[in-house]
Amino acid sequence: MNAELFENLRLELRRGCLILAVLAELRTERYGYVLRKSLADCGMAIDENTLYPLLRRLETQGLLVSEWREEEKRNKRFYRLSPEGGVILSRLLEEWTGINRSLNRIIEGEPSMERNHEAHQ
Amino acid sequence: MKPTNSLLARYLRFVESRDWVAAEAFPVFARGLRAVLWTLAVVFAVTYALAGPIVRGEALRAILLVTLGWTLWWCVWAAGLVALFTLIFRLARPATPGKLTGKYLDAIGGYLPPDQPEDILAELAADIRSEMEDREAELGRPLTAEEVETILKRHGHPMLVAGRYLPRQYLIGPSTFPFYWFTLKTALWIAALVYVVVAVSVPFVRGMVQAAANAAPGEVTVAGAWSFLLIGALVLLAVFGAVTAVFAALESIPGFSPAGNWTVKSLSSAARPPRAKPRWEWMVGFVATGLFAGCWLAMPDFPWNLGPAGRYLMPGAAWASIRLAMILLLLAAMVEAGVQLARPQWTRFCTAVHVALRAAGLAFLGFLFHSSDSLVVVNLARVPAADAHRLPQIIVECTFYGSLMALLIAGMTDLVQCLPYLRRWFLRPDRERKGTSHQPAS
Repeated sequence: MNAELFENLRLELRRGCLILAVLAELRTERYGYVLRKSLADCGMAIDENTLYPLLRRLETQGLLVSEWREEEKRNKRFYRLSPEGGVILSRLLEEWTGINRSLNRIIEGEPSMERNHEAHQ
Repeated sequence: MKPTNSLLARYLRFVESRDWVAAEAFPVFARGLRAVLWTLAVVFAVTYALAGPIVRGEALRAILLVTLGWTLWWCVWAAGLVALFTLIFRLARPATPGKLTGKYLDAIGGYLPPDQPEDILAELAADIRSEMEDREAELGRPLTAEEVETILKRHGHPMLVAGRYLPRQYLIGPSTFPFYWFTLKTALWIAALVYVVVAVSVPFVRGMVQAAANAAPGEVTVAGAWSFLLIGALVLLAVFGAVTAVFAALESIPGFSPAGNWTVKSLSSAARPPRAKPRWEWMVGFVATGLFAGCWLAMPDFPWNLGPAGRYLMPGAAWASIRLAMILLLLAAMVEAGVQLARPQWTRFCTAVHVALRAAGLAFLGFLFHSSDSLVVVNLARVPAADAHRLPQIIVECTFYGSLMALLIAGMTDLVQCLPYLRRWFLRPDRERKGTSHQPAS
């Protein structure tokens, strides 16, 4: 039961981060398989059944652009961040940095302890 | 093969996905099967066209049956030969890695949305081939069919893979679901109440007609009870289907929002719990029920409980059969009043007991109405001789119409009273507590 609960919460936590990771990785042009491998190498493994529909959705939303091109005698679809995607990515990264900072403060507990201390004085 | 949604095409895709026929022989199998089916249809149609104008009735039926039998016989033989051929083909030439991949992608293609399947398949194929190349580079040799199959199986079942590309994966979306769930529960309760009232009322009306015709009232049978439950289940199922279908249709409308353009002022007070009865009412109810229970238990020995007419009456045949049920009902009513007084925060329990009591009360009155035995009978020994011939008829009529009126009044009252209780049922106790705790913690 606890393992299942943890897995659900972990997936929920990862869901938003994956989009950020994919957008960040596609600042450099990549095709699907290489993108999947590079994400896995960075510790953000994603299965192809999640990645490819996500790429198509992000492309439909205008955050990515794609192009079919031949490489090593095979047609591959290369993705990269669109200009609009770049703007969104920088705003999302700011948001992420803010969330991360807040989370760290909450986890370390310093500001709340300080506030309590001030209130007692 | 271009994927279509005809019955035969679906069957062929099923056969293909289960790997029943070798990939190489599959086109032959598909063509053979189509030929067999067409032959069957054509032979049957030709026979009908030739024999139809000549013979009629039994003779025509016999000719068609014989034709159908012989056609089926030869079709089975033909299908068997096709299957044997494909089996030999398969044994002679096992699947190769490339063909396995092609077959897997074809299977996915059959489930993909029709607008851009080639695009999706090409991308999936590039991914799978890249993974296979990486694996071959690791092993330093070409992959075997089993290793390819392992890779493909890791990618998932074709239907699941294709399902990720479908535009909508749910019937009722998360934003609509709370509205759907509330509507469904309300509709089911209302349907159940209406069904019970209608189902109970119909026998009353029938009973009135029977009484008017001086016929014996109908009895409640086991088959009748099963029929009541079965039809009730079908009614609830139909309501469930209708509500779900309506919400699924609304969900498919782009931009649909069940919340609409709401404001705080426009919110109804439907979610507020009904005002509870004052405590004194429950106390009075508790005492009155206890007194009534005492009178009921004492009535056989002290018939003056029934009023001045009590001296002429005594318990009838039905008295013994309902005595225990009546005592249990009265005890349950006292328990309800006691719980309301001692633990009013047990909202769901109180509501469940209230609804159960009302349902049991209705059933009890219904039983009395249907029962052919009398609850009380006239003690003729005590009746003056001048009134002896009129009194039994008066008592019987009073009992019949009295129980009928009581049943109708109780049914209507309970229907009205249960509605706020049912609304209260939907409210979680914690919401009630939250609703009353507006003060910030000190």
